[in-house]
Amino acid sequence: MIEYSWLIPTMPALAYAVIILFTRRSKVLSGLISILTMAACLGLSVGILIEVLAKAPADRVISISWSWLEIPPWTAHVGVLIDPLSVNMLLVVTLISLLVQIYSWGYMHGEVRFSSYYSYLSLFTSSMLLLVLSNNFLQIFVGWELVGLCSYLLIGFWYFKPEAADACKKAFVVNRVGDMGFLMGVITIGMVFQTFDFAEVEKMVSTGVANGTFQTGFIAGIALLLFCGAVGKSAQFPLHVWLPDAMEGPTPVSALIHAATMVAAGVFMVARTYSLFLVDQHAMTVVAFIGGFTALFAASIALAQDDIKRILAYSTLSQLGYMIMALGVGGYTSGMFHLTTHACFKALLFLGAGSVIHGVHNQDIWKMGGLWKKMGITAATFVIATLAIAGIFPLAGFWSKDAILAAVYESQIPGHIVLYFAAVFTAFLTAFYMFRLFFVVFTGEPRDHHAHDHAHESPFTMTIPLMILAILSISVGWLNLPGFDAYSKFVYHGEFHEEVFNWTMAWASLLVAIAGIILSALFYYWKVFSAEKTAETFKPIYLLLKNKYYVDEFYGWMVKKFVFGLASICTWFDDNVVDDGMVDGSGWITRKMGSLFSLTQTGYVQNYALVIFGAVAVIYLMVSF
Amino acid sequence: MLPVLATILAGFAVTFNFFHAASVGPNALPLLTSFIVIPILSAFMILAAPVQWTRWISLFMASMELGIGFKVFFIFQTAVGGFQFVEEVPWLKNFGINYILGVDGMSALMVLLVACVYFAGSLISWNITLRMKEYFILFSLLVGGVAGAYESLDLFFFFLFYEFAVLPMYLLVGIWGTGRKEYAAMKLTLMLLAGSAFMLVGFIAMYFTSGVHTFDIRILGDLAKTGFNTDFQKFWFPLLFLGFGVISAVFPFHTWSPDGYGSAPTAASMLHAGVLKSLGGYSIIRVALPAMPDGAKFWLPLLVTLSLINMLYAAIVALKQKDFKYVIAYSSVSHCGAILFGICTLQVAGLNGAIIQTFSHGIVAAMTFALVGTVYGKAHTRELIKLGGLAAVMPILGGLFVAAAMANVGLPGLSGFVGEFLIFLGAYKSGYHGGFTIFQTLFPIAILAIVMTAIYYLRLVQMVFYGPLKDPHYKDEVRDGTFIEILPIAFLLVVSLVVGLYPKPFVDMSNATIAPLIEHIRGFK
Repeated sequence: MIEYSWLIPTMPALAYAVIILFTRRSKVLSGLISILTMAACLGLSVGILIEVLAKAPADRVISISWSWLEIPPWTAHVGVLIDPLSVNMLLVVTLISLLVQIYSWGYMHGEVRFSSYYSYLSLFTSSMLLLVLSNNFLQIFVGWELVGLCSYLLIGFWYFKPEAADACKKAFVVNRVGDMGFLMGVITIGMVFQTFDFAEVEKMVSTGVANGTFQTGFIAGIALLLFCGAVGKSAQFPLHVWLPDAMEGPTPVSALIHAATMVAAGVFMVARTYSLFLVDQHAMTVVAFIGGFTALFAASIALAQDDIKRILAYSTLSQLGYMIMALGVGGYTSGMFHLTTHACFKALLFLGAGSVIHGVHNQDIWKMGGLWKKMGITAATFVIATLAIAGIFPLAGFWSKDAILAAVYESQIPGHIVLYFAAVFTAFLTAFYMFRLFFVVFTGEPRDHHAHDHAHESPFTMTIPLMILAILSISVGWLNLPGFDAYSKFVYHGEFHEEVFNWTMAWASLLVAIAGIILSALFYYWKVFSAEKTAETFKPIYLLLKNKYYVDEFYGWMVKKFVFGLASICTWFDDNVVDDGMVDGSGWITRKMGSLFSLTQTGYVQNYALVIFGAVAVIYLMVSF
Repeated sequence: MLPVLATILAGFAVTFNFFHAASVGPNALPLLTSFIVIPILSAFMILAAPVQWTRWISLFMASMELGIGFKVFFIFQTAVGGFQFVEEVPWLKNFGINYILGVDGMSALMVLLVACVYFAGSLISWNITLRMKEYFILFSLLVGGVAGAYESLDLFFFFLFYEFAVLPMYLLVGIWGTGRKEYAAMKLTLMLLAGSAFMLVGFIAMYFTSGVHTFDIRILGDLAKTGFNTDFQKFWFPLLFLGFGVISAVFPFHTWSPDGYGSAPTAASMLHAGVLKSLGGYSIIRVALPAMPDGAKFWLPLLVTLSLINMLYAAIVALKQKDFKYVIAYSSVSHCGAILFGICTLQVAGLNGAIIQTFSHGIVAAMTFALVGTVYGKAHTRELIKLGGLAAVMPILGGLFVAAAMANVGLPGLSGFVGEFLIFLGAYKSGYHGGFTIFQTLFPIAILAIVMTAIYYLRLVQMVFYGPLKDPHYKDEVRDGTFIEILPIAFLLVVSLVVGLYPKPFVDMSNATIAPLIEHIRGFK
């Protein structure tokens, strides 16, 4: 199977081309092509997994390259790298893609641009798989930019909505800012190592650092440049602002791109280039603290949001922060494990939210309520996902989150205890706001009767993916049951070493999560406390959270003042100084000179005779003296 | 639809039969001369034929031209390198002026570029109604001039062909233009001619100083070692750079470009932005660098600064434009800045990047101008404030415009990325090994330009195509692009995709010129 791995990104790309060029007019055909291609990709990925598992751990890395561009001394390759990390991502991406595509069949029915939608999804998956399978820095950048394009197209899918038009532009530009750093990192790598290949760079770094050719600070600088890209794509503070706005896209897109796969690309990239980060502890510390800060920061914002998708978006930010933090403290396996479990339960949450939106045609949680009775399957699967993200035993989130907490606690980086408490507190907040969402939407009395009467359970194409994801959200975590450790034995960096599951810590975090749920229930289920009154009491804090710490306003002000201000100055300069002043000015001078000299052209013969006489006289004088 | 395709195929068929033996036998039709003659011949045929034949003749001849373009591209032997298909006819032998044509890797790419843009431009002018015959005659002459300039190896003929191309441009803008067309035509022509005056003086200086009295570029390039001493190079290089720079709209001589393109008819802006403008950067690599490498090194800090200003300043100004076409025009200025920046690196990667970027900019700018022209033809306004939501009524053109925007932004998979990436690689290298440390600090600033480009292009997409439909009349009145409108744009997009997806043959080709050139430049110092 591995020799056919290049087909995995190629097939969806072909599907995209076929849909765009030929089958655009037939919705059914376009959708089918896209879904069947995805199923084939999933099949291939499973085949590759089986083949890789059959090999001894030392032989599990296979890299194939083709030359793409040659300028001595560089050769840029396109290639495929199969190793446990990429196999893990392959399965996540193809599986979630397939489920989301099936779900979209129901969700997007009646959409005029149904075929375009499927073609974009195919293109996205293709680019994502190109990124995942990359064996070099250049190709990962190429895939990286292409998923950005697809994200742009899909956020702006309903381009006639002004919010969507704004959001897609914002997403692309903010990502570009991060990508600038990434590109600089890639070019620096190309320059210093004369190759883009991951394995070769890794080798050169380890020997170069050992014999003192490279200073660790220099390598850390490169790693941090690469990390800029991850900050953009995985929406970490301070480039997090695009992800909540990206919720303007269709909900299945949010599930696939902005929750499960593309935004995790940043985490994946850090894992892929982990050796560069490991060289210097400072780089790791920066990564860990940005991740930890984002986790807490985003979770706090989620407390005060009212839009069902935006709450989930902030939750995604927070969970991505968890993963980045895990990588930063050296928890390679736990970070990737959380990525995997998170993909399942977050996709489920978004698809569930989509099902709700499909039913009530609204996104404001305060217009929902009591939907449990109307949408049984959606509610049941949603509660499973909510329990999973809150980290309740024995669901998926419990195992992966505790692995991260343990990694943070046991790490060597300075200030890891601060990070640990921040992470635990984030877990508490996560349980609280997720159950706030659940209680408000699914329990209690309906708030908007019109919407409630209209609400209905979604069709099978939508509920079946929900159920599959629910099963996964329960069981994926069991891959890493203490003592079994199938996942840790498969995905790790460097040498494998056994990690003992820390039960004390696990129970502690479980208690924290349960406390969060109970507090949430006191507010929103039993209504012992009044949420409104609390918000009134702590009004400044509430407003701060509700307005997302005013970061968007600050950026908007900066762009307006600096970028557009500079643009105004330059435009003025161009119009007035360069154009009117220099260009038209030289034309003016030429004309004036012309009219000045034209004074000599009087047309009177006696004037000309005078000038000739004068000139002759002058010449005569000059010659004679 | 079918007659159009049939004409195109017929054009190809003729090329492939008539020029079959061109690369081998001495008696075969000369490929490069034919490349110049075909558009000029086309002008005469249009002159003689009934008016309803005009566009068919033009399309047929353009297809032949495209066939030759492909032929040159595919037959050119990268491994051999050097000048190939050389044709030499003595002309004023005593004065060292000879008709010499020849292409190396770099100009072979340019020949392909000219052919592609000519082909697309012929198609995009399909629905011209005003003085159709004259329009196509001038258009064809313009192509003939540009084609000659790219193939000439003799500075005299190079200059001749260049001037030959500028004059039809003047009439095209002045008669078929829009807006302040007389002003724009005058400005464009005068500034370009002023630039060429510097150029001419430089050529003559080289001619007399060389000691051998020749205009042959190949010989003049080699004379850098013996004929032109450092003082000569230091004095004359900036003048040549200025002359060539005006063609490429270098700051502060760029203002002909937005006004000129803003007013020019679609096909004329495509050809000018895509092909004629690229002549500036091309000539620096062809003439100025080989003959005066020391001069180039001496003036490098200034040139780098100018090219960076071009890149960033034009991108920033593009952000505030109110006219659809002006944004594209400033974007073109910004991209030309990137080309100059690549040249200034004086590195293998950077110069290759500059050539690939030249090719890519030619294709992409032509595509973007074609789109703007088509949208303008339907919406009857280019004011951004009046446009909006057009994707609802023209989804295909909207999709193509997003693709064009992405190509401009430098998205991987399309041609723009390859050039930009190589330029940045070269720029970094210039700084990395001692050398010109100026690059180390300027490099991040250059990369800033890619963010700016994204901002103004996406702003454009948003203002023109996204959002609610601004003018409700469009709902009934405006239709999506027809086959004949889509075809040239799609063709250019495919070319850009090919370069973006598999750049190896293109880069190999440009490297056939650049690798020896860099060796040559390194020989000094």
